[in-house]
Amino acid sequence: MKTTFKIILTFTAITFVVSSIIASPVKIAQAQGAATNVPIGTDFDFNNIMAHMKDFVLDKAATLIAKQILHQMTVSVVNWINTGFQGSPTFITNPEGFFLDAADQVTGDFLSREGALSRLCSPFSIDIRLGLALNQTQSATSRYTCTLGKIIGNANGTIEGFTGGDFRQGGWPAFVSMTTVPQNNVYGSYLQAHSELLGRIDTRENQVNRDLDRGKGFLSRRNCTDIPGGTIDPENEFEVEQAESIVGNSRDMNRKQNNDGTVTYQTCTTDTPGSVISNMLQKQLDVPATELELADDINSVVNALISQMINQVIGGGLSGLSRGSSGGRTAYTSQLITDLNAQKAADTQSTNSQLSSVFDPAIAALNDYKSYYDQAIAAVTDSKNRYLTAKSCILSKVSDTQYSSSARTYAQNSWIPAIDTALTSKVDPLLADLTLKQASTSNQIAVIQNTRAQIASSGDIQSQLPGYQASVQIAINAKASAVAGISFAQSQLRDAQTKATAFNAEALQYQNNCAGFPGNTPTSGRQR
Amino acid sequence: MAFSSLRLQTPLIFVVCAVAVLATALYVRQGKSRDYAPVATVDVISENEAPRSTSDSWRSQFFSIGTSTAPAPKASTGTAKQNTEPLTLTDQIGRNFFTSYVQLQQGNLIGNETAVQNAVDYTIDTSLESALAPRLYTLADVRVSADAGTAALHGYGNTLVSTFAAHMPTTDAAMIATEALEKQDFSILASIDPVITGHQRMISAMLALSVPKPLEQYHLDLLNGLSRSLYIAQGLRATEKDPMQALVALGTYAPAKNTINTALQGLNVYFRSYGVLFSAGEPGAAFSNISTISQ
Repeated sequence: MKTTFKIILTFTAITFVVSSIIASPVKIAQAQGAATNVPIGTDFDFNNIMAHMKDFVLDKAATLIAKQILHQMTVSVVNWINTGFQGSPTFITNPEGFFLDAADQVTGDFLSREGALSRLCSPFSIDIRLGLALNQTQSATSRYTCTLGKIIGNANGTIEGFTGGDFRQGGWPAFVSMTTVPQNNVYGSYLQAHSELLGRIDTRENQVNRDLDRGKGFLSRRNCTDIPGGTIDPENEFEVEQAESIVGNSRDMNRKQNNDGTVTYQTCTTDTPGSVISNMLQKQLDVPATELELADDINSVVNALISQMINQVIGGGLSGLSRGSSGGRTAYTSQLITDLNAQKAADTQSTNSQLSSVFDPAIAALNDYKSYYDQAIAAVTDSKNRYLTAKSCILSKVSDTQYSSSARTYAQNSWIPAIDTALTSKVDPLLADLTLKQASTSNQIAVIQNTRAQIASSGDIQSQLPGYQASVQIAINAKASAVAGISFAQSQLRDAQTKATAFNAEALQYQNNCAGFPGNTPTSGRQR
Repeated sequence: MAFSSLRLQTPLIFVVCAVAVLATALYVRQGKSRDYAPVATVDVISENEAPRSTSDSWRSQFFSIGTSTAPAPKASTGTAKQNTEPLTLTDQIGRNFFTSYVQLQQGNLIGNETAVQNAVDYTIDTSLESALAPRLYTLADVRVSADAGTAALHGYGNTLVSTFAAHMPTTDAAMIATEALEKQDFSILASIDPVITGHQRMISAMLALSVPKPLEQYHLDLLNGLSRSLYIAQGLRATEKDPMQALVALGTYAPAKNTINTALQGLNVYFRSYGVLFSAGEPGAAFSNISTISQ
């Protein structure tokens, strides 16, 4: 199931652009003259595919490429060293001197007069320093401070005098101090300093290990070479048994599977860039083998470099790579940043244009559609107003007592109800129906216009695109509905206009009735 | 005679004194500038000349702040390798790294995290300034047709799909490069060549294609998306020798594919909006299978 998924995913990922354009239930290639069946089309989900692509391919590729960078960079630096730094590096004028100095730097600092051992008791400070130097060591200040001088000083003596055999220069207090306080005697001082040095080495090793952990294994690379005569046939049990008995479970051995089915045994060494570069420097500069510190230092800087690079690429894509560095300098991908900005602007413009091509026609179609209802409503409203004018006129006559009560009663009971009936049963329902459709269309237009305005004011359309998906769909559907409904709207307008004409004629009749009141009532006559 | 010797001596003494004063001034001036020189050499930075605390702060300042103005260590200048072939981006980052490392060593700043971080930033900054960038086309490169009628749109849609179907690679450069790196078999990278060729042909075909005016922006987007895809394929092809350029190219993967996708969707929406329909037997019918933005 997992394999099937991966195959499907792989196929989808590598052909997503192709599938997007040719994934149709037709023989596309027929157009090119060759009948090739293309996949039966299904819509593809671009975001989903890209997410899988990132997880399964891009992240992995970036990690592997970072390792290759480390390898190739090391090779390049070593080649550079081999050419004697041809190209006049700006960093150094005396590389041999520098690397010798670098090798001795730590030891020198530790043993210097101003260093951590500066307050050793003077009679044996040289011995201590020499001892440590011979062991290539180094190390803090206060814990080595000689206190013997203070005690002897209280007795007006000198350390040289006391250790020279004059017991009076310090007496028993000086003796006790010298034998019980480590830094006041040669052995204690040496052991204390040596212990300190081992501690520092341990700390440094832990630091290197932490760096290696942070580097996710980037720093180490196995270099394997074939063992002469070490290629065997894995089907040959005797050869396999013989080889395995020699190789065992050694981590320095590797079994390489060859294309012809044979297996070649290899011996491997694990190198770090620091060790490779350091070794090459030692070889080229004839530096004594005291350069372990150098290799570790190179590794720590390489680790920082590669970790940062890979984190930036994987973490934030190229936009992450193009972030300005902490020193406030311009981004190192200034060249690419310009392209990316241009790309983003072009993408934004393109997306804006695409969205406009969806929204604007939709708004136009809806306005077109709505205009028929606007006209229909206007016509029917005009008719209604005519009815209301007639009704108003009749009511004014009905309330005028100068007319006979019978005429007024007739108008009240006959014409007014007839007008009301016309309004409630014919005009208002038609008007309500038309207004509902008009309002619905207006609402759709408002929604689309609102979205359009939001997009126009949005700074980053690309990132907000998913949020506009529903609106885009609404616009597409609305436009389709409006275009499809145009003829119906036209027929509704014609129907409304026909009805309005009839309404107007009827309303005019009542207006005429009112104008001729009471003469046109069955009981005509004026009441005096 | 004695008088004339005296007269000659006076200007000579004056000249000698002037030279001495100028030389002293020059020496003092050089001594001052040497304190601020960003390029450090071991023999210059000796404990005798500068007390440790002072020199450490000087060096810290140099790597913490001064790197922005420090002259870039141009590693690309005349090496044995450069005599035969230009330096790759990876070569440059390697040399810049080593230069930064040596500067840190010289400044006794290997243990200073801020200095190391700044040196790393600076190394990456300096190296990637010379990274290759994808070619981006402009509207001037697009052959625009004034005919924007339905027939022209229809014809464009069919031709575009045919072009894609004819040249679009069916393999992905990133996947090929991943396989090559995993197996450490860089001969596999040759499989990227058809990808490069396919993209090149597609770009050529699209540059030759006549585009109805309303579709020029979509066409341009497609062109640039394909150009970026070509850039990625070319970068990944060089994974073995120049993995740094490959990494930079890989960083543009998502934007490139996104651009193509967006342009295709835009064309699809445009065709639908303006009633450009493709019958089932036409290449352009494939557009009906492209999801719209909303789907």
